Amino acid sequence: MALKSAIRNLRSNPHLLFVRLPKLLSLLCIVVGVAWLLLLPLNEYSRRTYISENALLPGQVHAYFTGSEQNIFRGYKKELQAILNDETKDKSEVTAGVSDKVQSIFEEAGLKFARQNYEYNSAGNTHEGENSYAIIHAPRGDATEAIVLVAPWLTADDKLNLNGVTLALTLARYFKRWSLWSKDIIFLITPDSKTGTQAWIDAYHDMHPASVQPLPLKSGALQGALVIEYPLEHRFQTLHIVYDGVNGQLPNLDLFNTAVSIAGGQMGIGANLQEMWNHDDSYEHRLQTMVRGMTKQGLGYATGAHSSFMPYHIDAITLQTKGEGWEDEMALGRTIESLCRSLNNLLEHLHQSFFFYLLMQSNRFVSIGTYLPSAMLLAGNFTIMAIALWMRTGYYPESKPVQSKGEKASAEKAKTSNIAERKLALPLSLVVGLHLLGLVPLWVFNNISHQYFTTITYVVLGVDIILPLSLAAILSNGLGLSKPLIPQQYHLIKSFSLLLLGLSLSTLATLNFSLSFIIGLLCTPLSFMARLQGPAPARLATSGLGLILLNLLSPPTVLLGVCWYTNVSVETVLTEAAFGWDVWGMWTQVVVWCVWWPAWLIGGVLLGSSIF
Amino acid sequence: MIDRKFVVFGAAFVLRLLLICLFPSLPDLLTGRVEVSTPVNSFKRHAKSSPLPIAVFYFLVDLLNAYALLKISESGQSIKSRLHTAVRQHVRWDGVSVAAWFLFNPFTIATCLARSTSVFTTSGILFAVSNAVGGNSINAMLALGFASYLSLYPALLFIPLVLLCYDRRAQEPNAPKVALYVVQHAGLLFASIAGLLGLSCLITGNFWEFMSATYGFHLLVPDLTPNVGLWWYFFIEMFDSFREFFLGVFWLHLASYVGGLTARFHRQPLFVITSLLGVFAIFKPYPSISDASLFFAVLPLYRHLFPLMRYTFFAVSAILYSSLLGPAFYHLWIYAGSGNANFFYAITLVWSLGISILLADTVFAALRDEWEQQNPDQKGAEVRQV
Repeated sequence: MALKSAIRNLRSNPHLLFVRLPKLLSLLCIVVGVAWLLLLPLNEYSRRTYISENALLPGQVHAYFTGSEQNIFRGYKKELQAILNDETKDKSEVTAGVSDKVQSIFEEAGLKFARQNYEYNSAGNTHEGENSYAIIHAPRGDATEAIVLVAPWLTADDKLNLNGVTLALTLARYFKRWSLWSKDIIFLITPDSKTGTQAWIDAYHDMHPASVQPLPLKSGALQGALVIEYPLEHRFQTLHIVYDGVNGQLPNLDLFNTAVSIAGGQMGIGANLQEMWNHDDSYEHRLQTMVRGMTKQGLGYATGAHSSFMPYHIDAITLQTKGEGWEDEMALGRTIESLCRSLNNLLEHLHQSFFFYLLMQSNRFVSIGTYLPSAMLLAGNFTIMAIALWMRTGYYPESKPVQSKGEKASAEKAKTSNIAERKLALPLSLVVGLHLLGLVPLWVFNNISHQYFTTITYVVLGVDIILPLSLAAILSNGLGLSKPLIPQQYHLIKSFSLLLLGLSLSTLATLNFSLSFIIGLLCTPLSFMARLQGPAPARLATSGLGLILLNLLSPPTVLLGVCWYTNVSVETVLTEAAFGWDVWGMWTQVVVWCVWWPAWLIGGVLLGSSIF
Repeated sequence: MIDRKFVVFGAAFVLRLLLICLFPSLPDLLTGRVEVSTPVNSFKRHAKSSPLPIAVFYFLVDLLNAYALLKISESGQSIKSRLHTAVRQHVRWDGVSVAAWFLFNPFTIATCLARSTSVFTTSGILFAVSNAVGGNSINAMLALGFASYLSLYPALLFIPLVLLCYDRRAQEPNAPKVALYVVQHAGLLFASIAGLLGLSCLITGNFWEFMSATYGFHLLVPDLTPNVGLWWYFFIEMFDSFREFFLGVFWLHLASYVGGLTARFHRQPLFVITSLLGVFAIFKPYPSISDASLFFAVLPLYRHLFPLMRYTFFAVSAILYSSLLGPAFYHLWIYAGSGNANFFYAITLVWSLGISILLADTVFAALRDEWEQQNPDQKGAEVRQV
């Protein structure tokens, strides 16, 4: 009965139904969406990880990589060190010498060896290098499947990865003598962690640009990739597993679980993730891990040499050695041996476990079904508002003409010939036009040289202040260019803008949950932006204050704020972003400039129009 | 003062040219999309040749289609036919706006850039209609024959089209009997198709092989590559023993709309064609976005029905959602490997739902329009957009 009367109440009170209720619902969506995310680290909502793919059998085999192999490791390392520290040679001679040495070691071990040169240009910088790689053909396989071991010369933090490369060389010689491999093993030595694997994997699938050489030597379909990083000159304490791919794509959870299980269970080395060195499994630490993971996923950049594999649906992780402890290169080698044995067992591509997950501890995660509603609720709040505004323009006209009873008959007649239609043309063109305008900063930030990035950011900041105000002035006063807008058109502009925002974000949530959530959160004020009414002084003050606050949430301000907070220069971030766009195929900028920025501008226009 | 027509057509041409010059990889990207290319209209399955002249040729075909649309709009048949006059005659767009709506529709542009052969079928249909409203019934039948020869299904448009021709003919003196008129034109249509088939037979040599590779392909649906339609998933899931039966059911279902719609809207044959184009966009065996773009192209002819439509916002939202989610889910399924076929199929259902709502709403509006015309006293009792 109470429900019935509530519905009756709503129908008799259109202001409540069309103006107040949608705002409440939107707010509710936002609050529940955020609260949902905060609940995830609790035991009741997250799950313990488990291995889904039985064929993996992690840690079920004995790893034999010990003893005399350590002497080989030391020998290779000495040989490489001698070339690297040769003072008489210049840089290019050292690179060539090292490359020749790597080739001779691989070939002596009986592997087929090949090289690949590549060059990338981005934001006025040139990145060039040479990949070397060698293949063990599987004694028990038919060369239709392969596993990749990558050792970049420079780690993701740009440190010399001498131990990692030496370990790869030693493992190559060691693996070659085993007869149990049923998949080919490819050893890839790249000059750095940013470009090398990208050039190699693109060429492996014949998708490389002209500046990258094709591969002279190939194997079968790649089943998985492991990146080895050991930049330390002392024994390490734990393994740091990095798993984020380009555009927030993640490797199959089974691969991560296998690595954790082998490192922790079989070898007794601790495994960390997301740079959480002292994880005590408390709520705070779980949440912190999850938020760090979401930030990396949302930004969508390559976090290591493994990231480039993900777009080709090849599951890959990076193993980084961290801290000072008791574990040596042999322990790392055994871990990798055991991981390779597990991957070698696979009968089909990793598919059993999750591809969409948020990790909050090395053994705790939430899967997409549990976390997706939070981003969908955030995106849904915009859609609710858009639908409500559309209904409002049809059912609840802002200013109802007051009629006396005598006029009613004539008004009835006028109704039939004069249909109340929405004025769609201007709102539609404005919303579409501003979204297309987003292509301009997108193009500029991906095509100019890096030294102008800081300046351009401030220019965009200025544009963000001026453009909404001038558009608002034109729209609300006409200024001789057009007729002043009626309230309905403001509602329609907001409705279309929020509809596009909502549908872009809900689509994005299925591809990159974190990015959708972050952008959704930053856009939440836009649901409540409207042309204010009321007496001049209060209205001017509120809208002025609102505009200042809104400008604090504009894309360039957020960028500057984050750069200031993390103490990284804007130029570095934007150079990396342009590099991501040019080389990795990163899509984050498209979302920022063609989804977030236009929606933000329209919010600014709506709020700004209350000044005029 | 420059003619608006030239501005619109010129701008449409320049926009297409700009798109392929600025994004040279775009045509190949679109050609590879399942939403655009189906086994029966894919450019890749036909020929590979030098890109720019071919692309410009496709642009010109698009402009010709727009021109045909402009002619249809200017004839005013959608508003005032022989037996029916719309209530809200003054609510209309002129021919140039209708052509612009077609030329700047992103779906049309995508189809054109993807060099899909659907644009020729579109030409055939639009020219058939424009000739029919122009009173040139012979050319109309030849154009329909061309479209049917290319894609088979336009032959279903014969009855409403011949009615449209007859409407035009009946306004002139000495109108022939309907039955005779229909038989004559059916003969003409068959002759034109037979002529074209004869030519193809001369070129290919083997008549039956040619027939089974072309019309057999349309009728028996052997290629179940995913597309935006409803057939592929259904036929993948089906046991082979039921295949023939359901092929019959699906085709019968598609064809049955012709009779029903023609009977109900016999006073507005152009509207029958419009709604049938919507039906084809949903229910034909290999639909692509080009079929939807043709339906969206003829809808503005019925601008006077828009005030009577109730669910445009939801239909447009559903279409927008599915146009974004479709490629995303296809990516998850095929490239990322983290989704599966159900993801994409679910979205094609939403897409079809969107077009269905739009179609049903248009039909409702047309019925309401006829009803208001017959009951002038009930006019505009409660007319609102939801």
